[in-house]
Amino acid sequence: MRRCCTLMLIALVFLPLTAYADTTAETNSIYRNAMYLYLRIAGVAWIGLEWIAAFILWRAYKRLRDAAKELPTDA
Amino acid sequence: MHDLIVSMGNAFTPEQYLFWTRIQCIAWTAADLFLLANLIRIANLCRRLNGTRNHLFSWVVLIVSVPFAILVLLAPTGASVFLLELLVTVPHFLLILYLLVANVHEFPAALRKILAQQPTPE
Repeated sequence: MRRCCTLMLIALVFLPLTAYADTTAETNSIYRNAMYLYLRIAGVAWIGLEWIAAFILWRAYKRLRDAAKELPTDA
Repeated sequence: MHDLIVSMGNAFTPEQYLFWTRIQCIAWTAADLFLLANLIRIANLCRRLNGTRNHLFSWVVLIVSVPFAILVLLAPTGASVFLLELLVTVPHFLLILYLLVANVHEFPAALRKILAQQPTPE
């Protein structure tokens, strides 16, 4: 009997929390979408950095190739 | 600020998220391919100057990863996009590591040769 009352009390405590969870589920999905949008924007910055690095490496190759034209290759 | 976040969250749906994910995957994979191609060319240039055999298998790994990158555009779900990107980015990352480790002596030796033939400023 005591255990049953304890469980009922615990259920009563958690009941409003489930209602809170329902209302926050939609809010959480909105914040989740906003977080994903932020990640996409951060991804744009990362991609920009990567393209800059690729361009620098391409210029480095061109300079090395031009500088090495006079050198004999040890084939 | 709260209203801005809520409006952003309402406008950016999971479908839009997947669409822009595909676009970004293609963009950064293209940057990866361009970066790796030039890294392999630099490595082969240095190896030629030092009389060492060129990298060939590296080109094979790079070319084999291209179809997976194209398949990302057709991937139906986020999970398939993630798996396809794994098939592209993991070999690319390992290839960068391999090229740096395999040419740890080739790069400085070739650079020394190039700098030695440069005219010294008076």
